[in-house]
Amino acid sequence: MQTTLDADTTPAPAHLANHPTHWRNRGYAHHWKNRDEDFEASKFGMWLFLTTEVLLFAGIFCGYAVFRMLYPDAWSNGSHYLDWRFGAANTVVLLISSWTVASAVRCAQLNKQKWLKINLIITLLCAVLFVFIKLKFEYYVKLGDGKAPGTFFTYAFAENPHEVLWWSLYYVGTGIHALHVLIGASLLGWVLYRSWKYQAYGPTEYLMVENSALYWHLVDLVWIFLFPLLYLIH
Amino acid sequence: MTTLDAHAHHDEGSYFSGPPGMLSKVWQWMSTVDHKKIGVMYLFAILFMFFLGGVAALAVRYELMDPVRTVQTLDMETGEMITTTTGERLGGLKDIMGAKSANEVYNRMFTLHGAVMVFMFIVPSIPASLGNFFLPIMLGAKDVAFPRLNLLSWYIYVTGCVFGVLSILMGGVDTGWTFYTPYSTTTDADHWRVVLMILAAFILGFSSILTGMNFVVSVHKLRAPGMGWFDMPLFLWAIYATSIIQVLATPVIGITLLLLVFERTMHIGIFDPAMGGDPVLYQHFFWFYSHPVVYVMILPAMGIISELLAIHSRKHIFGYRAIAFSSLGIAAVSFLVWGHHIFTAMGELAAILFSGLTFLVAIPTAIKVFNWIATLYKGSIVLNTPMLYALAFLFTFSIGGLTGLPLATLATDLHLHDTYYVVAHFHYVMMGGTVIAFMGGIHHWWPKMFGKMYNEKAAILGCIIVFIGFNLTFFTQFFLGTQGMPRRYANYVDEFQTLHIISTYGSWLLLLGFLIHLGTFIASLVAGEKAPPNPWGGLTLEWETESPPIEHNFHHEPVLTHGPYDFETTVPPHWDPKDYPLPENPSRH
Amino acid sequence: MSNHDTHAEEHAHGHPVVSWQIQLGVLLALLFFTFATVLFYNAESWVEHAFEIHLPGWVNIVGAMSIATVKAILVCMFFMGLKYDKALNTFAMLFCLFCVGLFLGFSMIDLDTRDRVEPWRKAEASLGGTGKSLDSPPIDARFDANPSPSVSTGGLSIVEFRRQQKLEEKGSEEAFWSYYYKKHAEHQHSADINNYFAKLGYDHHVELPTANKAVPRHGLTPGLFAAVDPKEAAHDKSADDHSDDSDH
Repeated sequence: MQTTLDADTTPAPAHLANHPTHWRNRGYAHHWKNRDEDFEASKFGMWLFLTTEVLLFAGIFCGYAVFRMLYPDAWSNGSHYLDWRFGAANTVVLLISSWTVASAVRCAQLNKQKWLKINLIITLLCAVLFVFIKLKFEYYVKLGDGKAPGTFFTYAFAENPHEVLWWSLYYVGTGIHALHVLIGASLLGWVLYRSWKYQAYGPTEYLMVENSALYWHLVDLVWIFLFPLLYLIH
Repeated sequence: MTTLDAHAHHDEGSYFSGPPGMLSKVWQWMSTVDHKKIGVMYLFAILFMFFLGGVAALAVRYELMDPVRTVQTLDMETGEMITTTTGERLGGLKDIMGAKSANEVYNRMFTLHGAVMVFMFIVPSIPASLGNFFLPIMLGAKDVAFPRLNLLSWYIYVTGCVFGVLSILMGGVDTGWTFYTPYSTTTDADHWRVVLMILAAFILGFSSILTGMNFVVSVHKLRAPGMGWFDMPLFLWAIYATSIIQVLATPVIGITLLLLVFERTMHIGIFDPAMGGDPVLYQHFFWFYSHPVVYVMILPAMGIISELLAIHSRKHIFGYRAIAFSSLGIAAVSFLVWGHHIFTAMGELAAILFSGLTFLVAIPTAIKVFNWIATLYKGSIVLNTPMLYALAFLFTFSIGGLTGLPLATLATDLHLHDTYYVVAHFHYVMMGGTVIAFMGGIHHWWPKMFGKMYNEKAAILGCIIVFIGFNLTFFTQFFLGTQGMPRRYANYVDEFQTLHIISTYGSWLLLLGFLIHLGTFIASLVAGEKAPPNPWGGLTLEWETESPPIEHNFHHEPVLTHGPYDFETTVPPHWDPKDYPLPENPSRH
Repeated sequence: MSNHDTHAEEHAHGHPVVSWQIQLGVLLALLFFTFATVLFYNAESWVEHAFEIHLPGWVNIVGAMSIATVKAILVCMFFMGLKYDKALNTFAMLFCLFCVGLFLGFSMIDLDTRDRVEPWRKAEASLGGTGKSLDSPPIDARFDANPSPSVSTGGLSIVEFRRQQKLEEKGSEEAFWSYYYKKHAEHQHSADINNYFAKLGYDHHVELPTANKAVPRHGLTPGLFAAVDPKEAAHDKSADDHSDDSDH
């Protein structure tokens, strides 16, 4: 099937035309019959990996659910310590980054090299902004108050003996999520670097963009649930 | 990356014919993405861990020979161990184990045995070694779906093992392999070794996930032309079901162990009753992984048995689809039954639910056993080592499976919980099931993997000794358990001593059997006869290639022309009448 | 398919390309639902305070979680491309969610029903432990294990222990509370000028009978602005009168 994309004949810049990393020159692993098989398999592998991530966070969600059931008062108090505005701001940041990274995939598919890079840069900026809000307005302030997990808890004005558990789950949940933000950002940073230097991704070769994007969306998905659980449910 | 490039030209020698020079050979193995080399590296690493765990097991058995402590005390001056009866000095363990009393040495020993055997040996055992080697070949593929991830998973495995061994060298842990809280969060509070062991299990989980992902995708996407789902050898069905469990269950142990590390280092309190946490929640988290993982251990063994019984009785497997679906059935049910490990800890309602669900496991398992027996019926059974191991499996695994039913029954479990009955039950399943099948599988595929035959008589002798030793060691423990001998105790009442002594003698027989196997294997590698490509007359694709396989597995992409078990109608590839006769069958072509 | 800027999905070598209109639409929908969930939560709080009724707890949970689920489905279908992808990937995710359900479901069944069948077990297996103390357990001389948490609270819950520590540090109750107001004054101010519920006169001190109390949040502990010592207030049931003088 001849499509507009196959018809795309924009030549690679001269210095990259014969570079092995340029997307037009990329091969695929020898044990696959064709490029599509390789692509589909890798994507399926990525989805399997995403299921493992979901189940990893299921541990956090399970802890949250169980302790909310056991100590509803502590959980209600805990939720009131958080300011929904920061949660909502971070949600918006992540949603926008999810959109830009989806656009980045689209740009790679359409060989729009410039917009691919712009979208990736916006995504990375969003990642930085997310972590910044998290650290500056949440962790920093809360830890300063002594609202820390476990024995580091020194907040003198708590009302319920089980509020310590809330903070433990809050830090573990958001901490592991933030770690995933950093991992996802590193993946996208790598994509940006290769795209910048070699134009490594294009219509026939965008697997890495796609899989990094899938990972980033998962980070977004987890936050979509963490936000109401931590900030809105009381 | 160049090794993966399409159309790269390779010479077609055997997969382990490498470049000359020791260093470049080592580098070639360390940097390989060839599933066969990775499988072999896994095999040796896993067998080494088996040895390490086995030494710990022998130490535990030795301690249990006497009702009071065999290793009575430690000389605090010199760190030497002193026996009760003779006062004989056994040499210094104090520095190595870092323990302050002999009690602790015992606790560390059984923890060492459990943790090493479970996390470093039995979970990766069959899938990572035999699975890695044979899954792509049986599919007719050149490699697994993600060769580089495969290599990564091997390195992660090694890293995990290094963490584990480091923890042992720093003194070991005394938590039991299950790391139950609150003991595991408070013991040895000023030491890092417990954290190291927990991290070891955490890291090993990643290796397991990567292997599982790789296999699931390979089975989906890399089957040879003409190979439908129901043309796959049953070993692959078993590996497929195993991999699904690995992918879906392992992340939960990841977060559990991570929380445990936080609990130890920061006292976050989630599993600590003193802060309102719930230790039983830890047990739920832990067993949500660790029960399904029991089937990660046994399912590949079942797959091997399906292969061995069909090939060595030269008969079409009975009930192919039933066996294939029962593998998936076991995988599905495995997620529903974890609560039976904690009957005594949880509320009745959940216990009743879990008890009922646990009985479901018996159905697909029994389907398999009946089909295997029906396969043997009127087959041309060859009593060689793999077949003997398969028959031993049928015997020991059936005992292991059936003794599980009283444990699934709430009323009897309350009596048997945490006794030697449980120990005997899961050793009959894990060792009598998985290890026996693993040994059978290694013997079955040894000629293919290394291109050398082994001494059949020595191997049969080893097999028989292992079988007798195994039953001596563990059958006695059923009696001990029903009489009330609790597990994990160094001391016991005098009445149990006879059975304990028999059990310990059995463990020495086991050691002897495995040493015979070790000798057989070394002799085979050094001076074994060259193996024909198809010594047993198998029909699965691995028997169509050379022994050992060439670097890209096949000279031409294989096309499936017969089913994996069509022994009645197909002349096996590379068949040579001087190797073995074929039963009369006019319809064979 | 030459019209690659229309709603039609193009194909890059057989792979679907999602048009930018759809992507932008999904983003707007996601932002809308984020707004909706915050609005729902605030509206719920407002209803409870304005009409002095108590909505059942599930309203809050079901509202927030169902909106989150819709958002997640949107992300999965369009951003992650499950709608255009092989069904296998969707199946993998659904099976994974099934396992998550089992995990949460069974764990919660157990922890919620330990005393259902035989009520006497309630005392035996108290839910989630006592939460009372972080004592060092007595060390049995026969065993050399060293089970000591890094903090010993001497029989108090860690929350109470920290309060006592701070009281001791400050020397008096007055100093203790003035420290509190000083520490939170800035934040309290900014919270209140941005909080239209406070402007409407619905302050955050109102205590509702259960945990599912819907109150606007400021990132501060509710009830601590009362000018009186909460301990005294607990003794004195006329504490409601005092709260009118509260400091905000």
